[in-house]
Amino acid sequence: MTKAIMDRRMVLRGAAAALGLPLLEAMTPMSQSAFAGTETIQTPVRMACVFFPNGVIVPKWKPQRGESGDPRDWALSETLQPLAPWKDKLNVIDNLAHDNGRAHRDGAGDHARGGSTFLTAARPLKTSGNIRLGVSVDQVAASQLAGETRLPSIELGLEGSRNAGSCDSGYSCAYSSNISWRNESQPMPKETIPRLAFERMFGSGDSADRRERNRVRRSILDVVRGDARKLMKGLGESDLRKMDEYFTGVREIEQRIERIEQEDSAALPDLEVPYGRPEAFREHARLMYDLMAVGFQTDTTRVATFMLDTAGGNRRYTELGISDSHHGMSHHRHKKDLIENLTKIDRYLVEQFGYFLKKLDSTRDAAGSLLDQSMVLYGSGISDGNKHRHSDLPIVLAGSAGGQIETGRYLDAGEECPMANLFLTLLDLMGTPAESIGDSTGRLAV
Amino acid sequence: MFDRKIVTLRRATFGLFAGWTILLGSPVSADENTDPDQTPATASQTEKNRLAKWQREGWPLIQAFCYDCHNEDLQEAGLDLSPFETLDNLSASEIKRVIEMVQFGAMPPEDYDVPETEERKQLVVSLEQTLYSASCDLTPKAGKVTARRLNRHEYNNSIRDLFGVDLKPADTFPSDEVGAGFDNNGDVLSLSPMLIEKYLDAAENVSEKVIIDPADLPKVNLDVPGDQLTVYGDFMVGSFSGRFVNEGGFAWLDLEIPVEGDYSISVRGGNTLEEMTERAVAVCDESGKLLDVLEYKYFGGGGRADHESLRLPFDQGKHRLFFVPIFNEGLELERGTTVFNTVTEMDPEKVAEILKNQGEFVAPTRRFDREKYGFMFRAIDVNGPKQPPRRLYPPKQFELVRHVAPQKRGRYRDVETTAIKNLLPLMRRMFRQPVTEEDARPYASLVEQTTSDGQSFHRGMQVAISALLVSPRFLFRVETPAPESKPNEFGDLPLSQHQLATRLSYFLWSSTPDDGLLDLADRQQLKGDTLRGQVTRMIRDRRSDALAADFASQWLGLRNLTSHDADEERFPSFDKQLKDSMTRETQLLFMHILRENLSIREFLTADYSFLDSKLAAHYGLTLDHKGFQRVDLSKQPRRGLLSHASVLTLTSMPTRTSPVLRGKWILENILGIKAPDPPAGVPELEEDKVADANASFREQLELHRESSTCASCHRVMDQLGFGLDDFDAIGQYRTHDGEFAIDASGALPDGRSFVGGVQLSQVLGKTELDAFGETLVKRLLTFALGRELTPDDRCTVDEIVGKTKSQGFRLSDIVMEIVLSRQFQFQTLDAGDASLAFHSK
Repeated sequence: MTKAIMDRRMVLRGAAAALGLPLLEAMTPMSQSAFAGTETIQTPVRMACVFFPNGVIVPKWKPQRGESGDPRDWALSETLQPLAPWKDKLNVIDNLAHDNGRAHRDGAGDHARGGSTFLTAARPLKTSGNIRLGVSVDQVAASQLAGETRLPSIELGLEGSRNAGSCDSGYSCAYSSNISWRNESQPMPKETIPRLAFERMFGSGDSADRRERNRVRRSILDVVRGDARKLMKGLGESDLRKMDEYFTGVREIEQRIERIEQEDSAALPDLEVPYGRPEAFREHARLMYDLMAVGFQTDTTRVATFMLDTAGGNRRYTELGISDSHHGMSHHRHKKDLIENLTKIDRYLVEQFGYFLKKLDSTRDAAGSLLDQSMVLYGSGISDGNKHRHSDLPIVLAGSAGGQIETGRYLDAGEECPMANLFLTLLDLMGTPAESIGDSTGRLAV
Repeated sequence: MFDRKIVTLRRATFGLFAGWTILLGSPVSADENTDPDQTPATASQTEKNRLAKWQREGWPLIQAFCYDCHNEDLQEAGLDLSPFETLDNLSASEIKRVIEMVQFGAMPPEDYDVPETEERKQLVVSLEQTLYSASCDLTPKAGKVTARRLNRHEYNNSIRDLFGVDLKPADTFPSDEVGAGFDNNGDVLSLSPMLIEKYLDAAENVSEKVIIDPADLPKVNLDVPGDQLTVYGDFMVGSFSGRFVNEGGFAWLDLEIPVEGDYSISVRGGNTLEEMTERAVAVCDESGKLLDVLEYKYFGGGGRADHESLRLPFDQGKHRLFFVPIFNEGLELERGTTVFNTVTEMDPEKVAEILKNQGEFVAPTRRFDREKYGFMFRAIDVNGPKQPPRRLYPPKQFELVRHVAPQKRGRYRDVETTAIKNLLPLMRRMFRQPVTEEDARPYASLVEQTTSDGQSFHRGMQVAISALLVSPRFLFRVETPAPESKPNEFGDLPLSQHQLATRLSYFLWSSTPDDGLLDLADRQQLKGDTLRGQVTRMIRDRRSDALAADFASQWLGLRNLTSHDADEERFPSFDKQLKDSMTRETQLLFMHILRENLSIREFLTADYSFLDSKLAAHYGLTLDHKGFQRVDLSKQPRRGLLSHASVLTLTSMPTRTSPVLRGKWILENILGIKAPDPPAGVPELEEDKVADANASFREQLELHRESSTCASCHRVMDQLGFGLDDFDAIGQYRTHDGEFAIDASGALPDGRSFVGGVQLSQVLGKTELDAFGETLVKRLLTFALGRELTPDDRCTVDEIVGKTKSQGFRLSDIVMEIVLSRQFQFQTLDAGDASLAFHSK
């Protein structure tokens, strides 16, 4: 089941695309035109956000500061060691916080809050039913970039939503399983099967079939939209909101179809994607990283989010010889063996992230490597898992956004700096500015 | 200010009515009818009365038992209770938390002044009354169920029941979010563009599987010209590739028949001389048996030929047909009897050579003896099957395409009207309500569009069905009030008959209503005894297995088993198959209790279960039987749900049992008591308090109760959970955990003690049935409505409990009462509802 069964046709065409290598060059004019008028940005910036649950062992995560006090003078920590080859292409940032992750008057549920605030910086309404949060940073960017690329954004994960009961102390499971939120009540569900994600990005079947199918789809969507309009008559507020989700979705698919029709043929990237769900975590995670990289490379999308596990996730990393589950262990009560095992997991996850950076850095993009052209956020909504702390979050920001960010530094955002301030900065660099997000108080200079 | 507050409070969750009976004895029915404070009055007067009542009955208890630690100055655990005096500026969740702590018995802590049971009960009642202004004589509303899309299970089941094929297209959809414990909650079931795309994929997939274009069916369309014919014996090649056969020679044809049916075979050829009389050609099968005789005249010279054909039935597979010209006129030919040995005695080597050279060009011979080579084969055609067998079509093909638009000169006519005829009955079922021709026309226009693009009518029907499958009227269950509906005395509107049929079928079947239900709805007969009869019928129907798969599995948390992991070293037998068997056991018990209409006590006390051989082995029994069967467990230490491996496993950690989780599971799922959330953040245990490695697990666990913050709640949870400690982390019975003997003694929150799972189940079954009944009613009502319960639902819950209690809460009775309830049959319009204005006129 886990063996890669390849679609022969796909690989053949993938090979053709790789041989011809028209991708990057062909892409450039469009990319430039997309940002025509903006002087600083010549080629599009990409944004990826990667989430892992349950925090880290903080002392093992923190880099060592050099004596000079210069942010360029620092050494990687034990946990971050796998990122050594890209040390000059990333920043580690201290002291970012999510105040909305804290309990205040909402009681328990730190994991649900840690996950849901991670990219929204907003306070989740404590409910198992009528969910309310806020729009996430990736979706702010995606909504402004809609129409620029085939997909405004992709949402990936390794675990689906839990499908029974509440997930964390009275919070709907939606909060723990989604970091990407289109608006305050609508999470963006993740694709967890690599093959399905691939087909969503690049389609399946050959292009003549696809063209024909898209033509039929347009007439189908025309008809059902008419039906939806009739249905809207006499609906109340909450029902209208649901219908609005339908309309927005239909419109987005139509735009995408139009876009595909304008393109002559979509080049398939040279990537082998097995059918079904890979069983090994490492393989699964790396496939998802691959997909994000080719999504950026082919300019299929410029915004991606990826959850390595749901918030409070209980994965067992048996491949590391650890039999206890992740969340259970994260309340380690300073037990040595648990701390050791957690450090192993932290580092293992960083290793997989290193794979992503490697992939991005070895892909040529118009102005250097794809990594240079990107902003890749890696972190968790909780710092110390044992105590559920929501301040001084473990955050790595890789890539220079096309030379806009100075990299190779260990930064201090200053006590209790809202993570939302970093989000506003990222959005500026992305060319998709926002006035505020979540609990932002300003912009963080990076 | 206060009024505004009440509005928000009324939206608060319902979970806190949780049955506190276990802790406090049976609930006092808050008898507001006789309360002089509750005489009908204006809203603000009612609020004033309520506040006065609270300050008289509730607040003094807070002052007496809580205020010492939780006042403005001390604020123990960050809690200041002073706003409770005037109930000002309090959020629902703050009141809720206080209720939980008091009700659960977690506060006040044991070492302080503890209220008498009666006082505790009084405080909870008073606190609840501040929260829930709605009482049963003030007009509780039926509530509004947000329009919701079908979830994955409902989608799959609907496809299965609409089209008769279990295609499960929704398995590729992203997982549905859960709200209020179930994945059919309209408020959290959102619809992303990604999902719309998946709907399109699924729609195309389904429509191409439920209708087949007959033109796409396998068929034979074979035309073998003379130069391709295989001829055995002496023959000459004439002009235009004719094969002129001498006596003893014959032609044969190897056929690959794709599907059984009647095939027409036509042979062109004829006599070689004009003056000859008719000549017969015998058609034989591979055994040489005569199937039919064709009579030929002179072929006509040049490239011409006489032409004869026959129709033959064939089975699927390889066939060989022989065509033997008869030169001996006296030969008697009897169909089915005469056998031609010449054809069965062909020399295999020669045959191989002929086949090898088949199709090679042979130059025609101009002059040869036409009398000797007396029969000429020009070509043989095979076509068929005439009528494809029905089994090749999807089960509903002829219902979906009852009519095919007629064709004239290759062009379809009357496409739209024909399509509408086909679509109307289908749309009624897919949209779960009557439809008009006007509704069908846009979909029929897709058929028209397809055929005018030169594609077939069947293809057009596929496109129309694809469109229906992404129509919001299929994907969403929207309950728009019927224009003529009249509000009841509570101001709620009845659901239309079709909306009721839809609620009913998605409640009991997680699927689309069948024709029976829709017919009754059409005739406005879905009420009274007919309605009761339908509920009974639906429970008997196999489709109600969905209640186990969707309701029971979520209520009891069984779905969490899918992702549950156990340490493979300690539990090597734990695999997916075992997990599936575990889930099935619990589902089968649920369906048994439902279909036999047994008391829900059976969930706790059943001394039997439903096992397959794998699970039986897991329980230390042997079973030589395929599949599941009822097994007597009266001699085993297992009673009811609490001894099901499913429940015991999903409340365990990968390497060990968790009395905390087990206790919490019993409290929440059986007794309906929500354990208060642990304090935000995690208080640290002192390093030296960690027990040494020589202590038993129970001794280690007892430690966290040394911290008073933890103790107040864990006392209650752990003591229940310890009772199940005679089952290990995957539900196997045990007496030892490693070197330590198991101590499965425990206590109920009120102090009654017991030892082991059997005793625990019996005690619960004997004395806690009311709490269990109320819990199940609430969970089932939540599922049936697809929304979170609100304070307004309380009266309905009380009514259902009241009606089913005397019979010991029989499961089917509960289902019936839910269907008959106001909450199920009526709806309250949204405040901003466009049709509200219309109805209030």
